[in-house]
Formats: sequence, C-alpha cells, structure tokens
Amino acid sequence: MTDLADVLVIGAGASGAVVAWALARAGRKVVILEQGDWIDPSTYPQHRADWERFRQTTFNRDPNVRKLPEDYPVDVTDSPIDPLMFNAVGGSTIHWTGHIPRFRPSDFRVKTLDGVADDWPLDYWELEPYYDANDAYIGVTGLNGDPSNPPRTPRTFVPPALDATGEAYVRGLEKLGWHWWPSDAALITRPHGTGRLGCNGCGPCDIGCPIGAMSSAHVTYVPDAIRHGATLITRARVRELVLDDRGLVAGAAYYDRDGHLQVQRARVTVLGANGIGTPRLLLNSKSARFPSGLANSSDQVGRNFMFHPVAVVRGVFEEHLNSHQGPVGALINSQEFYETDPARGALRGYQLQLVRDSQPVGAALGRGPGRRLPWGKGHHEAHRKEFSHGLTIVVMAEDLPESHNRVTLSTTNTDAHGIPAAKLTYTLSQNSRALLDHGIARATELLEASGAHTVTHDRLTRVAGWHLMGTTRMGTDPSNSVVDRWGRAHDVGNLFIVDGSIFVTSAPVNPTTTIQALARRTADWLVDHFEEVAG
Amino acid sequence: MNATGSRPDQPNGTVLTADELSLLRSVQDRLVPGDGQMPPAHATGAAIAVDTYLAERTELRAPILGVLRAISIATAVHDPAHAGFAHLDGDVQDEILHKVEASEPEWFDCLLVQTYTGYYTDPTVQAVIGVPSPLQPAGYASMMQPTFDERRLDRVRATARPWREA
Repeated sequence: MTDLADVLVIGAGASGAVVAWALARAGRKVVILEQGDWIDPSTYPQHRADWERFRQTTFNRDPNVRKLPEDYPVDVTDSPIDPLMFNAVGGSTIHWTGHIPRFRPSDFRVKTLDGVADDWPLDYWELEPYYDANDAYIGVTGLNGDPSNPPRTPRTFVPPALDATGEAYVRGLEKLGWHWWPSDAALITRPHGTGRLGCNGCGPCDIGCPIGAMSSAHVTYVPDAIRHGATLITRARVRELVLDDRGLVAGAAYYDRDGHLQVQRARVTVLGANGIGTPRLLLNSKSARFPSGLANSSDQVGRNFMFHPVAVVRGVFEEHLNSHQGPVGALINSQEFYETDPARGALRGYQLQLVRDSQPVGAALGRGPGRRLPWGKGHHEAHRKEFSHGLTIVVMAEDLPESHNRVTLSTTNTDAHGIPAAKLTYTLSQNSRALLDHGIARATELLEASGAHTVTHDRLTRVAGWHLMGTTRMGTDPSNSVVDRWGRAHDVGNLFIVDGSIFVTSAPVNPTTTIQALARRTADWLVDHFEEVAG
Repeated sequence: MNATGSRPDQPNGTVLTADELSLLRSVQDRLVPGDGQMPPAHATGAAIAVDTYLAERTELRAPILGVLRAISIATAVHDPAHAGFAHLDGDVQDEILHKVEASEPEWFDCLLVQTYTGYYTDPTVQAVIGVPSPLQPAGYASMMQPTFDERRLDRVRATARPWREA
C-alpha cells in the first residue's frame, strides 16, 4: 500500500497528462500510472537507415501487431476497422499526425440542428478558452482567420510556404472553388519549450517525433507535471479500481514493472486511458455494489463507440511532388463538406484531410496485398512513377453514436497480466457509409482537378481506427450517460474521465485538441471543487 | 526444410542456412533486378535483412521458409538435372516464381513485403533515390521556413461558407 495521493491519474497520454499537470501545478499531490514506458528519443527509428521496417513491428500503430508487453490485445473479429493506439508516456500522441482541427459550434448541437444523436451538455463557447490555452501551451503552427471556423487566437508559428505537394492540392481546390486552409498542426517550426527542436520536415510524424517538434504529451504536459511535483510510475498496468465502504474510488490496484500487485490510494481518480482502455478498466472493476462494472448503472459503459471511419483516396501524378517530404498529416484541411447537406443522402459531414504520401518502402508496398508494385523487370519503372508522385486524401466521416457499437470484455483473451482484454463490436452505419461514398467521389474529383492521371481508393480503410470515442459519454441524465458535464461519473463522485470516451458525438475532425481542451476544463473545475468531491 | 517455423536458429544467430540464403538472393534478384542506377537486390543488404527479420519475428518464419521450400520444389520439377534455381535461365526463374505466387499467394506476398522492405531500407538504394539515410538529423529542413503567403487564401476568405452558429 502506497501513500495517499490527492489525485490518481491513469494514463499519461493526451488527456491524463493535462489533468496531472494542472492539478500538480495547483499544489495537489498527483500520481500518474502509465502502463507503458518512456520512449528514449535516441531509439526512434528515424535515426536509422532501416527506419521504415519498424512500421511493421515495434512502432506499428496497431497493438495487435506490435504485441509489446505494455500493450493489451483488442479482439477485432467483429469490427471492420482496427483500433490504433500506443502505450507509452505520451500515449497515442506519439503515433500522431498532430492534425488538430477544432470542433465547430454546430458539433455540440447535433440533436438540435440535425435531429440525430444528442446535444452535448456544454457548447463551443464554453470550451473555446480552453482550446486557446491548450494551443498556446503546446505550440501550434497554423493561421487564424478561417471563415468556416470561429475566430481563434494567433497561432504560435506561421506555416511553411506551400511546397509542390501543397501547390498541387491547391491547384485543384482553387479550380473547384472549395474551402481549404492550412492545417492547425501540433508541431513547432522553431525551438519552443524545454528541449524541443523545430520541425525539420523529416516526414513520418506518425511513428513519433525524435526531436520533440510534435507537441505530444510526453514533451509538453508530462515533463511539466513532473516539474510541478507529480509522480509518474511507468510500466504500471492497472487491474481495477478499488472502492471504499462508501462506494467511492479509493484508488487502483496495479501490477508494477516487476509484476507485483500494488495499490495506489487516492482521494480523486481520473481516467485518461482512451475510448477502449477506459471502458475496459471500468468493466473490469466489478464489485458487489457495481456488479456490471464501475459507474455503469446506466449500462452505457462501453456503448456508443465511435471511430472516424476513413476512406483513403490516392492520386498519382506525372510531376514529381516531393510528397514524401514534410510532416505527413498536417498540411491542408478542406471543410467544404463539413456541415449537414441533405442532398448528400446523409446527415452530418466529413473533412478532407489532405496529407503527404508514402516513403520508399510504403510506395513499393502500396496499401495491402494486390496493391504491391509489380516485381521483376517493371518494378523500378513502377516505383519511379509512384514514389513522390502521389497525393493522399483522407476522407474522415463523422460517426454517430449507436448503442450496439461497443467495447466489452473478451471472454477468451487477456493481456500479459491475465486481465481480460477488450472486445470491439462495431458496424459501419448506413449514414457513415453514405458520407464516405460522397467523400470518395469528391476526393476523386479534387485529385483529378489537381492533375492526377490515376486515382484509386479504399472504400473503408481497415487500419485507420485512430480515434476512439463515446464509450462513457457525457450527459445530464444518469440513466443514459456515464459522466456529467465536468467528466465526473454520475455513479461515483470522486471518479472523473477525461479521454475521448466522454464524447457525445464525434464531429468529422481529429479529436485530440478537443480532448485536451475538455481535460483542461475538467482540471480547472477540479482545482476549484477538490474538497467537495474528494473521497 | 521445415516450414513450420519451429526450426532452431543457425549457430551464428541467423535463421537461414547458407543454401537458403543463396536461394533467397537469387530469388530477390528476380523480384528486384538492377535497373540503371538502381542496384540488383543481391548487391544490397536485402537478403541479410530478411534473415534478420526472421530472427526477430518468428511469425515470418513459416511463410518465408515455406515459400523458399515451394520455390525449391518447383525448381526441381522444372529442372530434373538439379542445377538449382540460380543456374536457370531468367525467364524460367520468373515462370517458377509466378507459379509459386499463384499457388502460395500469402507466403509469396510475405516474401515480397520483406524483400521490398529490406531493399528500400538499404543505404545504397536510399542514396540513389535521394532520401536522407537516416532521416534524422537532416530531414528536409529548408522546406519548413515559416513563409506561408496569406494572400493565397484571399479567394477562400471571400467565398467560403461560414460556420453554423449554434
């Protein structure tokens, strides 16, 4: 049994790190349990010539492929999309493109505006100052002034000039008269903060940034939390949350790096373990008082799981675009089809994330069997025509919450510590399918307008489950939601959730900046109300 | 050869025997032959790389050892004199590989993936293509100058649909 902490944070990723930093800064005794470890910057693959091979192994974004000791398996036999995540200090902000568009005001009023899903119990304007504060703190490259989004504070850094890749996209966008804007990118182009270098455009941000240019949690909030006195315990695999006699969370039972079971006690517990890890932990925390899992009197824990279903559309050009150079995912964003348009045959919308293209191995491999470049005499000619000649558009649809899309506990798989693994059951809705189909057609139109001679697409990209949302949703009614507007569990007054699990709806944009803004808001509230809620 | 992947490693810590490595080099030369400045696979570290992957990733052993065995068997059928794959005419080698690709598509695909990976992560190949090897610390720093010309957005500012108030 360890000393009593004021605040126990589970997960040192995008959201948990924010709360740990804020509460430690406010003078609270904070302990963070993280099942992964620090990634030594010198071990990132980009320091090696053979870096691309690590995409297939230890730096793969899929835990079922990576199979590191700190990972847990996810049963995906009933899902057409594989969930992606990384378990380390910094969490999935290590495997990140750093593309951080915000939600729009309409995303918080989905029911009111479009008659589907639910409204959030807060609005954009309540969250806006937290978006701004988060951006200023982590360092963002971008431009304010986008007429399709509310005004925002000046970005930390101005984006680079359009390169050949950007020019090719803009050629098509201007021809079609569509919306586009340089992406808000969670990266810095000049040194910023402690020990962080400006981006040098090496390319594969999605396997981690070895120079700290990406504004990931392990180079921003986590070290600052520690500087403010937080204790970070790595390789700590939480088995379950434990309760006191009052039914409040007394702390967490976890396996330490030597496999010994420990208990960390705390007055308040905060979960930031992502949209699969958080419901898994709650469902694994059964007790006589909570026989179907902690905070689950509504039977909503694990339900309403949302991805952002993705279709990838790729164009090949005669011209050499240098499209392997530069931050892979944060270039240009088109929100032309963001808001609901009934003419599309679907409600809500999608974004077109205009990204860079493959590296040499990736170009040779294509996207999956059947897409490999041909072997033999024609191979090099094919590679010359593909490598650095491609543009890739990610069609990212808003997914709507559906009760049957859910995370449950596996009855057959466990992690390395014998804890039941997560099972994902997910069906792509007709609405999401229609959005993707519309998006594929529009992305094809854009690439052709940009000059592509060949355009191909995946109707649904399997290895694209980056965003895990909705499984402990926020709401005012305890009978159909898990947490209140502050992320506080309806059933357990000293338990908070701050990751993507609490999303009511998903919007059609990458969620991390919204996750961090919500976490900052919860942390502020917790600082002010700590003694009211602490056990 | 046992294609189950359960075979013990070679004494030097690698997985492939000398004969298998030799066969792999010959096969890889058909998969990725030389072309202009691009070296043939045997002139790179592609075969050694695959052997390294086999040592690190046991799940690759069954398909890679299996496909090499399938190629050996197909070669013996084609070549009763048992001269071996390396001594066959290139067109015959390709014919054998196409047959194995058709009969064992998953194993062959695995071989192709690992061969391409080994080939394109070889520094000599990267030098010809013109990518930094490794990517860090140089990257492509010159492209990251903060010089975006905001006038490029004038049309968007004038025509974009505004966000919905809510």
